[in-house]
Amino acid sequence: MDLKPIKYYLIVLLVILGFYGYSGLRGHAYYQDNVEKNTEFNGTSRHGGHVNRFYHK
Amino acid sequence: MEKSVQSFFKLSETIACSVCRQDIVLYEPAKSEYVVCPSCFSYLHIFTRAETRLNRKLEKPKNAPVLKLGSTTNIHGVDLKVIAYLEKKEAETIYCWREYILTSHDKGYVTLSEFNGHWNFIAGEDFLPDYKQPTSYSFSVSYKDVEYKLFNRYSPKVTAMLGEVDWNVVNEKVKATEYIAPPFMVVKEVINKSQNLTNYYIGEYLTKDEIAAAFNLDKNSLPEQIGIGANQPSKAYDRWMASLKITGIAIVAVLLLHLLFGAVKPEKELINDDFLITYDAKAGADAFKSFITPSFVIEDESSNIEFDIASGVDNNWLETTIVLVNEADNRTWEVSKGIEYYHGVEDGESWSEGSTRESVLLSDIPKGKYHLNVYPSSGDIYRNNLYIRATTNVSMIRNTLITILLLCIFPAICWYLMRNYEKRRWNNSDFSPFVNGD
Repeated sequence: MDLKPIKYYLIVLLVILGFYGYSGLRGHAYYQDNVEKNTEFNGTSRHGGHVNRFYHK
Repeated sequence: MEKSVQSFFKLSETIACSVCRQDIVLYEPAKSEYVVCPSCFSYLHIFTRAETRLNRKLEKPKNAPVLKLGSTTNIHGVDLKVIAYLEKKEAETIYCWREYILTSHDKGYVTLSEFNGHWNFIAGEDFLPDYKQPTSYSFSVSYKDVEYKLFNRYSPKVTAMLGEVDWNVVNEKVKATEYIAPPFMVVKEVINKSQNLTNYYIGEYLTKDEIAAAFNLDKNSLPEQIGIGANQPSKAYDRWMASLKITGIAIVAVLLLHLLFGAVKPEKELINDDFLITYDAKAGADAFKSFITPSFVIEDESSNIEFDIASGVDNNWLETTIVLVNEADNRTWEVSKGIEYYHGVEDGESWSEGSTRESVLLSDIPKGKYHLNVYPSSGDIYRNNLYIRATTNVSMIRNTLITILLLCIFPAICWYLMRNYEKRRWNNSDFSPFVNGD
C-alpha cells in the first residue's frame, strides 16, 4: 500500500486513534449530558429539591 | 551486440532532395522509405540512395521539434533514436498535436506524442515483451484484466513532417480510438477500413521531468502543460485510494479497541434499585421528597458513570435531578433528566410518544467513594417509585461513532477532489461518464 500521498494524514489519524484510546481508558466521553459541576460552591444548582442540600451522609 | 547497437545509433547517411537538391540526413538509412526534405518540405519516396521521387508537398511545421532528429535516449531500458517529427490534427476539428517517431535497434518503432504539454510513450506488440491482445467491447477494451474506458475517437491527419519513416505515414487513412486507464492508454488503430487491419498500441503517460531527463533537456524548454492529459495520473485518485484503505484499517482498529476496552475495563454495577418516592405537598407543586442512595466506590483512576432511570409514568411526566457527590472532598456532578410518556387514540389510530426510561452519562469521574442525592418531581402526585441503575465503565458507543465519522471525513474530501479531477479530465471527451450521472 502506497501511503506516501497521505503521509501527513497518517499523523492526524494516529492522533485520532490515540485520543480514542486515551478516552476509552479514562472513561472520557467526547460529549456528555448536560452536567454542572460543584454546584454547592458556585450556587448554580438547577435541581428542584425542596430540602437543604446534603453532601456528607 | 553492444558494438552493433552503438554503430546503429551513430549511423547516418546523406541523400539529395530530388526537388531542391539540398542534403537530407537519413538516421536510419537501411529501413527508411519516406523522408521529408527539411529545406523545401517535400515528402519524398526513397527508391535508392540516388533516386527519390516527390510524393507531395507538405506545409512547414508550425513548431520546431523540441526533440532533435537524430538525438538518442533510453526509455524503459531500450536505446532509442528520434528519426521523425509529425504534426497531426484531428480531421474536421481544431485539435492538433505532435508526434516523434523513435526507432530502436531490434524492437521497431515507438512514438512519443505531445498534446497540450502532456506526453505519451506509445509502443506496440514488438516493443512490449508482455503484450497481450486487448479484448474490445463497445465502449471499453480489456488489456491484462484492466478495463480501459473509451475516451476519444478520431481520424488523424498529418499536416507537417520532418525526418524519415519506413511506411507511407502521410497518406495512410487511420481511424483511431483511445481508451484510458491512467496512467495507461490503449490506442486502437483501424487502417484502410475495407481491409479491417486493426492494430493496438499501449500508451503510458510520461511527465515533463521524465522527458527532460530522458533527453537531457531543460524542463522549461518543453511545451507548457494545459489542462489535464487524457491518461494523466491523478494524485487525487492515489490519495483517495490510499485514504480509503488506511481508513478501513483504522475503523477496524477502532472497533477492536472498542471491544478491548470492554475486556480491560469491564462494566461494573454501582446501584440497581427501585426507590420509593413520596409527594411532598408542602414543598410546592410537583415536588417530591429528595433522598440519598447508598454509597458506592469507583476504583478506577478515571471512569464514566451511566445512570439509567425509569418510572412507570402513564400520560404523565417525572423529572429528577441527580447529584453525584464525592464523599471525600464534596465535589459534585449534577444532572437533570425527565421521563415522559403519553399515549392515546385519535381518529381510530393509537399513538404514543416518549418513554418510561432514560439514561444519562457522566465522564471523567475520578476514583473515590460516592453517593447520589436525588431530587424527583412529577406531574403525577401518586407516583411512588423511581428506578435508578448506575453503572461505571460503560461502553461509549458515542465515542466510537464519532471517531468513525471523523475518520471518514478525509476520504470523503479525497473522493470529492478525485471526482472533480476526473470531471475535468473527461471534459475533453465526448464519452464522459459525468454528463448524465452528474
